[in-house]
Amino acid sequence: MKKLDDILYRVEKPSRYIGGEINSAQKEITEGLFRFGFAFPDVYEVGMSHLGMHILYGVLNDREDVYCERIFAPWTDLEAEMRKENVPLFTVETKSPVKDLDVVGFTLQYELSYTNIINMLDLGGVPLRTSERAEADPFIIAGGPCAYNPEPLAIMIDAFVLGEGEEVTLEVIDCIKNLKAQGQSRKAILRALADIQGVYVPSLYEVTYKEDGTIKSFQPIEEGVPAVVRKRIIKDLDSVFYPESVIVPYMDTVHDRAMVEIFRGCTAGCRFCQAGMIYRPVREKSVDVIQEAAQKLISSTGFEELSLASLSTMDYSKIDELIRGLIAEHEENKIGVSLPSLRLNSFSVSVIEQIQKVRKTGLTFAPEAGTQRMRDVINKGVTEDDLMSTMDRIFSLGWSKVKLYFMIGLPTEKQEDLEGIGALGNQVAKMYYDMPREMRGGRLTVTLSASCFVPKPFTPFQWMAQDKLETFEEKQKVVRAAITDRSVKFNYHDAHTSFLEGVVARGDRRIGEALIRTWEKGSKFDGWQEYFVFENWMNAFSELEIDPYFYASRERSYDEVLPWDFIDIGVTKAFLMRENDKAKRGEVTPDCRNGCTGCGVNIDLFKGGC
Amino acid sequence: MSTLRIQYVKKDRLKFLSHLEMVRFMERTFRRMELPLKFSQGFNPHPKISFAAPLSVGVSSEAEIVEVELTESIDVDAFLEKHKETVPSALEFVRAKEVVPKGKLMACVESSEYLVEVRFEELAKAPEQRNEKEAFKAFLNKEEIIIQKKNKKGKMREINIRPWVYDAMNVLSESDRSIYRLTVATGSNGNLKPELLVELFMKELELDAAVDSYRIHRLELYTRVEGKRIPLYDM
Repeated sequence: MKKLDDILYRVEKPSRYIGGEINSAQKEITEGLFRFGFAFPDVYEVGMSHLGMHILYGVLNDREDVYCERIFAPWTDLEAEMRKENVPLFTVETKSPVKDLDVVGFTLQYELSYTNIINMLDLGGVPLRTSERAEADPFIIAGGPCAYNPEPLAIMIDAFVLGEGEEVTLEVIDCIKNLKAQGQSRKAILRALADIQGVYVPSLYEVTYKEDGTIKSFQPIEEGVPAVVRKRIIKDLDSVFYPESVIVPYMDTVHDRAMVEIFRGCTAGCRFCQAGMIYRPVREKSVDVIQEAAQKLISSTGFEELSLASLSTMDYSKIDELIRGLIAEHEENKIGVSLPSLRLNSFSVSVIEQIQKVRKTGLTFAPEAGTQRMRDVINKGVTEDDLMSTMDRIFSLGWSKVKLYFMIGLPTEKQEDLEGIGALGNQVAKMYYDMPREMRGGRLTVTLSASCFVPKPFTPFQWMAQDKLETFEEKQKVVRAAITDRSVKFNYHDAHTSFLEGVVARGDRRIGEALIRTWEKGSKFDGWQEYFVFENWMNAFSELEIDPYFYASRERSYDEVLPWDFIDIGVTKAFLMRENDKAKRGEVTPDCRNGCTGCGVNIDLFKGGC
Repeated sequence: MSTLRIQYVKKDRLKFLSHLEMVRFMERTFRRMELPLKFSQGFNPHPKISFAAPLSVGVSSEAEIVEVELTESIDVDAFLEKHKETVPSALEFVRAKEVVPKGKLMACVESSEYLVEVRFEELAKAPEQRNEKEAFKAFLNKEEIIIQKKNKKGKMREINIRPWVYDAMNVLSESDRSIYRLTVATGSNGNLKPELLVELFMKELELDAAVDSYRIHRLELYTRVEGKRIPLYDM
């Protein structure tokens, strides 16, 4: 594309678009090649940090008859040039228009990226709604964590894929490939896709509503279409495909390092956490498999840092052995090992000490709430003693900068829970200044970061009302006022974006048109503060007579049909109710590594497992 | 202990890499090739890699120089053969040799030779009317060629760039483009972006409104040894 070359002189960070990176897939485009576009609805440097994309890219390109290319949202400067010069959305690898592909698969990581999906479809010349697409259009599919409530995108996505994608994506490809070769219609192919476990084809289901706006019924419109869609999991992580090489971006990406997955799922059972429920059960890779994967990745990429990826790395059963092994192997080549998320306990500090031998990484911890009562409600198994003794050891090792993550707007939250966040910060600072001067590291900074809680589907809090905007803003003030130490900094999230996340996260099919209307008003990159326009969303809702508070700020009863009820994640609704009831009583549920807590994932989905 | 000097090209789409991106690319390339890298001391050790003269984003080159310190000597021929497996052809290593470093690589750079292509949108004058070759000679015969430049405090300052132009001529003049070949100062003792000179000249010809864009290509990097200008790679 000669034109693109000229355009790239006029945009910021052109290396986002050039492609041809080390280890990117180059294939000759022939007649029989199945062409898949992995689409990430954000810019290159964000999308390239997503581990799932690298895995699926490897799985798909491992097949000779499939070519998986990447598609990202162009930044606004390139988009303006593309629209001016009539350049349609293209793949990074071959700069092909997305309309030339057989399938475009979006990954849904964040609700506020949905306007980007719409924008990308439009830039690609693909009709926005499933119902408007023609035989020649690519199939638009989607997966990822937000697909567990697919309904807000149901009018735009032809088929959703629920759960882990290594196997099911290939099944979807084979199905489309074979039926296309037979000359089957788009409609027939979609019907066939619905028979694959883990695939949800929204156009094959009908929703009716009660007068109060809640769902009356949700059912297939055709006989044989499954009434319940069960997520897919990979049973054995040691034998599943893991890429031996990944793309090495030219530009600086958010996670610019080699990522090795060490396990899936999480046993902690934090009640606010959707990942902790939807990714069950826990399945670990063995130390040998991880070490081999790490070795291959390092030598094929030249990355200078290795990151262990999982939901809660410290919970890996042989973390000590693993870290020692990795450090021993890579120390000579000055390859740093980093851990993305840390749980607060003395054990994690001994691991940190190991890592420090090679490279000092930043330290962040997530106590999530300010008082013990509040942490019990959300089942975050961390005590104040844990926090204090961890901080004590970190400080005595010479660290002086820590970041603590919290949420506000949690169920049953009271004034003292909010003040407790500030008080924890003060206490951490006091502990530092109580140390003898000669033992202290640099200048102390304690950063308290508070996000606004968004209740998510498939969590014990899926029924609760989210706090309203004004409440969030008042609560932010309460936390700030409780901070007395000058070394303690306070950051908080904008409540407006959290509110809209709350609307979309638990939205139903009727939200879809509002998303399109919001985009029509010019919204895109809503996850980027500088582009986020709250009024576009609110105006779209009011024009379509949709009440956003119905979705975000309303408590649901247990007998209400929830838009995502037809999806089976393995964890039962009864378990979620039990956990919600226990939360209200402030009772904790122990980590299920120490005994099954009966979530149900080992009944049908993962028989006899865990 | 050994220092490897490499000359590489930077072309096609990869001319859009920034200098920082090139730095990262080189480190990772050397790691993939398992070179015996020498690391800096301290908390955050990194390999000792030095570049001669950063290129602006969008500028292509066939004469970039990078030096990397190694803990031991390597087989250079095997290195050059092996690099093709892991370095895209748009960043090909042209040649390499082990050297005894003569101080900081960057400080050795004295000048660069460039091709600057001017692309015209629509032309006010035909090439024969422009008479660029002669006009450019006359332009260079001036004692002073002044540009306005903001200094660090944001104040406009007048700078005479004529002393930084060592050699310059028009080599092509067509209806939709012209090409200039220039050798100009590069480095800490004076640095001139080649397109600046051509831009000034376009203004003088009253063609600046017709210019669509510039394309810049570096042909050579030079150092000065005993009063003579020689390619940096050869020093």
